[in-house]
Amino acid sequence: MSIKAKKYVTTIIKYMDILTILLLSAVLVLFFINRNPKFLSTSNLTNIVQQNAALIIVSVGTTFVVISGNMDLSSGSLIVLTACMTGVVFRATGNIWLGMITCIGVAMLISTMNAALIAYGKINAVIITLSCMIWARGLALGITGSKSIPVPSTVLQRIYQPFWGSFFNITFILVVLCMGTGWFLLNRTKFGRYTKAIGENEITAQLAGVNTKLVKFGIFAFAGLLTGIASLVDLSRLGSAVAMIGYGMEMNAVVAVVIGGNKLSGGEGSFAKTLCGLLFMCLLSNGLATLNLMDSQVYLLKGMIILIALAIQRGSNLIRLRWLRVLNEKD
Amino acid sequence: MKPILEMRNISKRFTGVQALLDVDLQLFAGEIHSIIGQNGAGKSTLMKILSGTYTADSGVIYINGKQVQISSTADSAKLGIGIVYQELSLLNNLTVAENIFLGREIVNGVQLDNAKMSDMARKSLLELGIENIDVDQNVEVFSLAKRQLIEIAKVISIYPRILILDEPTAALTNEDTRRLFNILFKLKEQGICIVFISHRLAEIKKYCDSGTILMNGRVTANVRMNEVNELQIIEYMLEDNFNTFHRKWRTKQHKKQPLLELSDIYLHNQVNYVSCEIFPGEITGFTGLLGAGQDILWRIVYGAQRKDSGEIRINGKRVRITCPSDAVQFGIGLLTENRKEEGLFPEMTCQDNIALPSLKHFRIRKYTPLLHNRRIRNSCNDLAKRLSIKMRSLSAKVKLLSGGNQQKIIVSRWLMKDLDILVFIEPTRGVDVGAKTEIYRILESLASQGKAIVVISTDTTEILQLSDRIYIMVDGKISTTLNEPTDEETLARLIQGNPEKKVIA
Repeated sequence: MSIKAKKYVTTIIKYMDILTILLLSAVLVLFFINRNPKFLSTSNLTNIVQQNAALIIVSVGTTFVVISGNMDLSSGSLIVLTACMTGVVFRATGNIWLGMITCIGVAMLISTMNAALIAYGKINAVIITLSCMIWARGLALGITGSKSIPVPSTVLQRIYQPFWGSFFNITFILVVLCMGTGWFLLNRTKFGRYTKAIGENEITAQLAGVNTKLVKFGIFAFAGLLTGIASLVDLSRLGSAVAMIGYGMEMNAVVAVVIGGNKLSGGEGSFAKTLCGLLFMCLLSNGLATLNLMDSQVYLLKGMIILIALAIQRGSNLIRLRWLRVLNEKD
Repeated sequence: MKPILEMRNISKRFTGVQALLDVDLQLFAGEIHSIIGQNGAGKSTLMKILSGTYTADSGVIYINGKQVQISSTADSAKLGIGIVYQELSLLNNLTVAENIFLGREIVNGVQLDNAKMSDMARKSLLELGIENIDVDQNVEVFSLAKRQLIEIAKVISIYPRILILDEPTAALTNEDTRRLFNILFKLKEQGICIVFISHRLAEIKKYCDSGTILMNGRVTANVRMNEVNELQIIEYMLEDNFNTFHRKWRTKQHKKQPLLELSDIYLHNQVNYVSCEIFPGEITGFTGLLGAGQDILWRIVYGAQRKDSGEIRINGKRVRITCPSDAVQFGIGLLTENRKEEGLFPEMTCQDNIALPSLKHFRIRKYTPLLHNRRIRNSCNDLAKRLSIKMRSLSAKVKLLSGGNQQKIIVSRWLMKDLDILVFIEPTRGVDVGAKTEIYRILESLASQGKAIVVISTDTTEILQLSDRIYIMVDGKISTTLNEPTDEETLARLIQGNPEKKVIA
């Protein structure tokens, strides 16, 4: 094989998981556009981004957590709890700024508490965030009395209201900002590099002089901050705090991150992969919603399609590994 | 000349084993010093004390004449001791430059200065004379030899005064070894003291300046390499045969059918067309240097490792073994060298550990999932008695047992299955002397019951004491088959891989 051809093949192999998920997304688009010609219209695409803004923001944190070899199941419940607290504070004081500070503050507080237990208490992240997922939702139901709390604030609504054309709003800016910050942290700072190192081998990282506990703490605290922001975004879009906000968000985020090709066992990962995974998940959710199916059918189809996509992703990964071996043996 | 580092009267005891006893070591700047000894002689323990992984029970360490305390890896790094570990400690998902600078990144504000780090990494590789390594590539794409060089570059980049290399050449070819030493010579000229650990005497003799020879945790000699020959080194390494176990060599007293035949087993770069025969009622020994392929060969036979080609026959019939459960079906059992990771369920009880693979024989009735617990207990008790396993009770956790007893637990596991072929990889590693003899006796009695026993060991004394037939492997090939007894020096020589000097006076 000539050097140029080899370089070409190496590049394809390197980006094979991304290519696979993009291909699968293209298949989805072809299918949905057949059923609904307006699927790729500007208004529907705008809709997809706006509806899934919270998911995208949460996924940024989840990417860090997954790359470090951990798991965060608390984000969905944290969103509903902080949204409800914001609603309660607004109802009591009428001050939306206080409400928004409460939202971010509570998200940070609970997530740093979890982070401390995970990093310094050395308790498994799955268990800590799982228990948080349960009690936070319970608390949210408790403080609202299981009723929705309207938050009729013009300031809050401005996050969602477009101010330039039909597309550009603060939500969109926040999404881009969070993604950008996440990308910068992962690729351009010590924090990101240590996240990767911990995911690959925590002991080696420790022996190399990395303060692994502090990094782990930072990862979960960062994920908490993003959850707070996501909560505000969703609250603004819906206009009221309802108990169903953020339901299943943590799982959707994990699926998006993994389906894009990030390794669930940690070590490998990038924001390009997360973005592709998100694209697939968002197209799928939106497309299924436009088909006018029953809820049961939507769940069934969504789950099955995710399963098939994961199987294909796994298959392409096996091929990738075989090619890698062939290339290396030629050395 | 004054030594740069001096260790005096270092002793270290692990439960039941005296790993080091009153060991003295002197290292001089600008020298390549070798630590020589058989497996379990205490080389690694000594180096781990120097690196701060272990602390010595007694003894003192001086650096440049000043007494120092080394109680953690951070301490040793501060004192200028750099270690290249036996298992590579590079992170595969990071690039070469990222690995070299892990934990001490160069930053520009909050932003990593990747360009500068890449530059410096490139420079430090070039200083070592290493070319053809793209520092912005992930480590995983490089060959083992190159990774070894990267690892050295990583350690060198913190400018150590003492550089320790723990078996860096075990997986390297001769060509790569020569390149490695060219680099080490350069470092030596800069006044760095290099400690080199290897099993390959030819290398040690050729490249090192001096050496300390250990045997059973004691120093037997300090040598200058230009004053001794390999044979003398071997003599210092080998223990006098005070070991009580002696087995009569039973030369081909029978003309039996081989139970297991391997023909042309091949795995790229690891095992090179190996053929051999295993007979029932015999102990067959496989030996060679670390990485010569003897353990991989048997992992292949057991189905724990893929093979590229080759045939396995049992009782003359060709069998297909693709996973360990196939092998067990055909009557092959394997005991790995790392009991904790691959052999035992440390948190489970002795009984569960013994009976786990045989549970289906203990069903109350066929086709019912219920187990007959009393029968399991009884038969475990029988086995424990037969092998004299010392444990508080069958329901004690296996992790509380000593190494020798843990090994016996695994043996009894396969005895319960009643397998015909038992493969032991390093059966006495991490086992104290008393239990060693006991395990030897068990192996012997199993063989006399007509089972085919295969022992894979890098310990030449052990191989000689146990085997009826010895296969010696060098670079993935069987270089010599010994059908009659030999002395330890010949064997040690053969393992080093120069069969043309087969006869030593």
